[in-house]
Amino acid sequence: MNEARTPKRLLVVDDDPDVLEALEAVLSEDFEVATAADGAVALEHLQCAEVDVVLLDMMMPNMDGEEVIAAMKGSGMTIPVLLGSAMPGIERRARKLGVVAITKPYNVTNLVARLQRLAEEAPGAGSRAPRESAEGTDEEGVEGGAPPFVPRG
Amino acid sequence: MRARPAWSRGFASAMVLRTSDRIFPEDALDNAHPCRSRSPAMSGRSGATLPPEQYRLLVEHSPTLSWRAGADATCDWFSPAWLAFTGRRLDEELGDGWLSGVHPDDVESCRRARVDGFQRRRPFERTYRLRRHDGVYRTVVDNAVPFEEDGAFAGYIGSCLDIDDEQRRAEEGKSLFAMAMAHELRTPLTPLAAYIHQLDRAAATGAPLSPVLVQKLSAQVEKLSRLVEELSDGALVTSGERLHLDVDTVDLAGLVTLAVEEQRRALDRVRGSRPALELVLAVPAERVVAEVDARKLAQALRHLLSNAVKFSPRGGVLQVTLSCEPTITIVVEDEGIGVPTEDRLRLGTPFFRASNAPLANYPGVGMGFAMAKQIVRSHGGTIHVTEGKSGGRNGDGTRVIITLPSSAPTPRSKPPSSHEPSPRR
Repeated sequence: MNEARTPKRLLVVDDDPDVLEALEAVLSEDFEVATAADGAVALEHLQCAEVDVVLLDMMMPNMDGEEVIAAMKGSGMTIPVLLGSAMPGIERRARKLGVVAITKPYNVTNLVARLQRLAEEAPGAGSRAPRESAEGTDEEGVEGGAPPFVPRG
Repeated sequence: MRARPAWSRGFASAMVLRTSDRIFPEDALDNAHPCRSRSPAMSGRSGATLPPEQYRLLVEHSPTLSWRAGADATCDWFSPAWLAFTGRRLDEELGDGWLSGVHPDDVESCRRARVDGFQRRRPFERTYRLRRHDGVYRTVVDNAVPFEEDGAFAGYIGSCLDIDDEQRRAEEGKSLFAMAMAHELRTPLTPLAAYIHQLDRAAATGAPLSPVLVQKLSAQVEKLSRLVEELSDGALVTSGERLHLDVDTVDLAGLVTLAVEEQRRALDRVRGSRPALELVLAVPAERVVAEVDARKLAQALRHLLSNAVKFSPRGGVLQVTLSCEPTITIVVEDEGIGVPTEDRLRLGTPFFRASNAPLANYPGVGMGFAMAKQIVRSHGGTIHVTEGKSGGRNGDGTRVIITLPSSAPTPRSKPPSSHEPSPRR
């Protein structure tokens, strides 16, 4: 990892406060971390702030991960998503949604590497300017083998 | 061997039917089967008797698939329900004809159970797949009891129940429970793994051990331990064991306040990152003394409060009220999604989930309310659920009302600052 580079902006979405607090603490070493404990709050954040990559919990009340992804697609957002869950069988669900998945408990080294890769490969990566057109990139070596969610704008 | 379903226990424990216990009177059997004549004597164990016409109705309308075999082990009678189920005529089923409807893989075990049973002349049970009239094999549990005539062994009467639906429901329940459990156990493991990663990094750089980090690790271990404890409590409740209580004289005002404060701290940690939930506590100024197991009762409150938070995804007000007139009552009321009326009675069943709370949105193993109910009831108290305040943001809201056996409230000599009169926000 290039320490000199500006850290990527990560939004962590999880309804469990313990998980949110721990992930914020540990991921802040590698990312500029924002948190949301609710899908709707996450969407609000995505509308008004620049985010390079989202770590999104699948199971949340009110608005689950799937609904957040649908809303992101609906508003043409091109931010890559890593869908996390403590539920068995998340990879299959993620493939259907066109995103990649990771199972809890997260191995932090693996989690950081995958988030970094998603952020690097995302359209508009490396600059803080608003994203222009969305160009899908193929994710290699990730579970499920599906490309990260990059809807064509 | 499958566990025998509860319905069959009493039946199979009846050792031998005697002529005095006769199930079918002569004329009823004459209508239902062609093979045997019966004496008209007929009296139940309790001395009560049913008129023959009622016995006939019982046999003809019972959904149970019944059969009878003589002392030579060949079947000489099948009930109308059996014939309707298999879609075959009586003459096709008689003797060993019925075995042609048994799944080929189950025929041998079926025969063996019968031979063993007849040799030992004891009740026996067998489970096999029986072909229904539409060609679908259904799993049935068949319970057979020997009967006597004139003091001599005369054969067996058997009755089968289709357990496929029950089995499927049980399998689905098990699978749902395992998924929920995996989720519950993995959730505290996530922060544990994260903090251990931090410790590891700190160790690599020679940084001093952070007491805060250790505290956070301990908190997660505590959470995991609590989960395991709840699971074993749940197993106890399911098996019908009573909870052990360590009863002491406790100030409930303090206990309720502590539980609410604990919840408030948890909410404060996510303030701004989820819709706001306002926590309102109302407790009397005086001590509310009761003989309770403080740890268990706090556990019950924790379950109810975290349920109220969990099922109020769009925020709202969560009100906790303790009162002692005329009886000690704790009310936990939220503006959440509510509990459908038809689910309220089953709410205290371990591992039950209300129909409006899918696992995909509301994780949990369905033990929270069941444990709270068990704890309250083992204190001799009551717990019930009604609709909450109308016009909630999420749905009907939920009001959980707990009553506990009364103790006379005694004036508090020096009220602690955290227990000032209600209401408090």
